[in-house]
Amino acid sequence: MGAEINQMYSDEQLMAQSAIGDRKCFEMLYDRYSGKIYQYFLRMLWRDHELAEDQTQEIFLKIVHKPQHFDQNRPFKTWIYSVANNMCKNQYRHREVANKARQDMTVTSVESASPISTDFDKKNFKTALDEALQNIDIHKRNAFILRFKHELSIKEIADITETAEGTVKSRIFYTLKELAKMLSEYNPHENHEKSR
Amino acid sequence: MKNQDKYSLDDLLLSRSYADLTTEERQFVARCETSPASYEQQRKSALLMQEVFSNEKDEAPKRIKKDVMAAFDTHHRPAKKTVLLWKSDRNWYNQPLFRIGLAAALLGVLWLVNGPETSDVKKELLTENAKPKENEQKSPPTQDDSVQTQISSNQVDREISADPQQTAFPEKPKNTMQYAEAKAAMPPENEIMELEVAEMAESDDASADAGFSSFDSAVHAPVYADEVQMSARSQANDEQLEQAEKSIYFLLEKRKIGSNTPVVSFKLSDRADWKKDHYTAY
Repeated sequence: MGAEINQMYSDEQLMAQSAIGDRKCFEMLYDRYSGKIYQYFLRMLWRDHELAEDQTQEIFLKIVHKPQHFDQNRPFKTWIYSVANNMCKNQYRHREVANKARQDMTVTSVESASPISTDFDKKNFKTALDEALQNIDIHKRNAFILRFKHELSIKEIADITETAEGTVKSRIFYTLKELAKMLSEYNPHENHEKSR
Repeated sequence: MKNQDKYSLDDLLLSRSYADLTTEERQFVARCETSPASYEQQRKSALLMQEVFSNEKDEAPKRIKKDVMAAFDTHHRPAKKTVLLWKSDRNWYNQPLFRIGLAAALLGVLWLVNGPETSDVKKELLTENAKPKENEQKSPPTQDDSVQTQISSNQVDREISADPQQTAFPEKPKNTMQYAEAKAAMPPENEIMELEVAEMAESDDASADAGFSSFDSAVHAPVYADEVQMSARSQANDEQLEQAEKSIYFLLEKRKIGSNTPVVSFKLSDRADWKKDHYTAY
């Protein structure tokens, strides 16, 4: 019943209802996006759980306190990710120095990471992927995460990042190339074929 | 360029192997500086990444939800109850406080312009209307009254002019001049008492005719104050006494104001005070 009601309303309708104080609608909206946004922040902000929590809370508090900032001409999904993206940019500015230091450390760790085994290990692959992603340029990483993790279209990503679609495509392309190179040591080829 | 817009490498990687690509798509992959071998490698990495991502649980910590929902409650619920007199998102002329002030100022101006005049006029009208009613209520028409009203003004004139000292009797003087005149015209205290007591004695008489006809003689009758007072206390009926007094005042007032004036007013309370003073003085 709850799921049916949840599906009945679009994000935009839920947002409109939330703006006038409808608690249930706001809760539905939160349930739809909180997890995704949290994961987005987690990946974009150096896998810092506390920071990701704070940013997730902040973005929803913004929705609570200033719902009028929602641009009704845009889809809610695109809007919330663009807000999240801007919040990430602010974090990058504030932590530019720390970020550089962190990047250096992760590069070392990735480079030093030797193949654990010829067997494919999903858990290790995931860890390696997360670490490798930290070495990727933030714009490329952003496009890649939005595309692969959040399954947004190229157009939507272009809207969120305020760039041309071609730029988004090329960013994703280069990110894939780099990641494939970094993670090639895990040689997932055979194991992946088996798992399929 | 057209193909570049048409295709997306990640779409191709996630959807088809190199072998399944069309010639056009292969041309596009070649333009992306990707060999068939690297395409396959990238494809497998991409699929694996997609799998890893899709297996992730998208859950935010529950603490966040608790805090956010609490913030939502506090933001929306009190807003309905609280009436802010000054809202930050409005212009000064749209502020509730400004509007209340303006309304109050307008009301104040209206009151100053119209209020006092209207109230004076109303007061005047009310007193004018109330006077006759008051008289009617306080002196209900009795047999005595009807008889008294039948007495012509000429007769009254005669009676009063016969004894000019009586003119000082009835009303409390309104100002010092009147008071001085009245005092000069007043008889000595003993005489006043005699007059008063005689009046009371007069009111004992049940017949109105007799009361008025004997008024003159009663005034001049030599009566000892103590005896009469005693007899008056024991026999006088308060109501009859009041009626007698009223009739005197009525006649005196009528004479004073003139026969053309329709409204005759006198204050019983004043009369009562006057009477009280004299009794206690005596």
